[in-house]
Amino acid sequence: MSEPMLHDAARELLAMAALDALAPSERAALEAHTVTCAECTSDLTALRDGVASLASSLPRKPMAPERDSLLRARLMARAVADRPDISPMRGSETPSRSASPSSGALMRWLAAASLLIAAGSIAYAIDQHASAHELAADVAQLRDSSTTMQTRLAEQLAIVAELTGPGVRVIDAAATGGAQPYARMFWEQPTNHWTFVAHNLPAPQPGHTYQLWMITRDSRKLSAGTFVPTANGSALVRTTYALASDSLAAIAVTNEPSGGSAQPTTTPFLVGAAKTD
Amino acid sequence: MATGDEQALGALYDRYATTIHTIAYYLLGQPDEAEDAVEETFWQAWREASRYDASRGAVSTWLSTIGRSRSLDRKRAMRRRAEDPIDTTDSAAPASPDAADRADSMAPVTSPHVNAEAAERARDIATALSKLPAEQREVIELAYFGGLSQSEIAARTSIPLGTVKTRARLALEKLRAPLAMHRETTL
Repeated sequence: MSEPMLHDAARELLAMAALDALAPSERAALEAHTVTCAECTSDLTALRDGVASLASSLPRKPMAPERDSLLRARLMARAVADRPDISPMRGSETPSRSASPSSGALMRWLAAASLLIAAGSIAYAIDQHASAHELAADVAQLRDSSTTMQTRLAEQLAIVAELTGPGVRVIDAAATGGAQPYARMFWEQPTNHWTFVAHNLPAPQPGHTYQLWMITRDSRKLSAGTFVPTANGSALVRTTYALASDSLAAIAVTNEPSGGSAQPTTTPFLVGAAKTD
Repeated sequence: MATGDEQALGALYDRYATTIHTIAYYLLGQPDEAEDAVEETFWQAWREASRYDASRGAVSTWLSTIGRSRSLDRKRAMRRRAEDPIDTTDSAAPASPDAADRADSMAPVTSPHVNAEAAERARDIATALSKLPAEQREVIELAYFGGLSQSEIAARTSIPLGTVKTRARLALEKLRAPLAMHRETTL
């Protein structure tokens, strides 16, 4: 056991504690001291205000709107799943015992009966305890599953919102060399979220990847990312890119060396013209 | 929020997510890590809301303290994983904005949502930072922006540990004045 920290020693550490720059052992000792020292607690609070103010000196760095929405939805889903709406099972009440000492025989009989009841109660309590543990484990597992499902649901809802919003434009892309692969780009113009969905794509050649392009009316070819389809030939690409509503001419997919290219190096095998509204 | 109202969590997130992300991003330098730190911060706030004591500081301070702590945990874990020598200018972290440039860097292009009051506050803090003696500013920047512990700062700067502590305290006391003018009273 370490010695309790003296007041002067604690005061010396307060600034570094506010900056979260203490070793774990120092932090623990200081926390133990501040529990009983109002002066250090007050001082630490004031110093933490100073540290918190430093964040104001940083250029603000907001998250990308799409990721911000997803993170918020995930947190809300976790909070909903975290509601303490299932009370833990309580143990059985101990049977009350009362007896009037009318005779020695009766007392011995009652004592024996009490032992039996007590033994039964212990066995019952052990059984209930084990059941409660199992139940708690089941509840924890269900909560985990629920959180995972709600997180997935939040992500799916975000995608659905991007596909079905009032400002969504849809650009279909069909294969140029065959009838099978097809794709569709959803452009949610108010938020500039792009969602590309493709099916029946063959696997790219070894050392190659597919690359999605947005082609503007002034012939610029903007990469929207590279992707590799799943084993069943499907692909989903999401990106955010601000583009003037009348500047998109087409979308295209090319086969590129792994890592992608700055500009298309092969003829697009999927092309979709953007219709003007 | 202490009563389990998730809408309160949403409101808290809407108000402070950018602040916490800013802290996390400048400490961690990686968007994914920063977003994880933001999530951990608000989750911890949700779980520990009942422990928040308004008499011990504003919500923004409480949340910033949690956010910085979670970010530092991640930064130190990243450093251990990479067996990275202590270096505040490593590639994983964006260069700490120079104190003299901070006020100017609150430009609309990087902070479209910042309001006039926040910008004014940032300028005051940046000015206060730039006015700190160089040796005090160095300690603050190594601790706050570099995420170094006091022992690591002493080793890096080759100054005694006691001097590190003294410089940190003096610097923080000087930084409290500009904050007091803009102290938040809400939430």
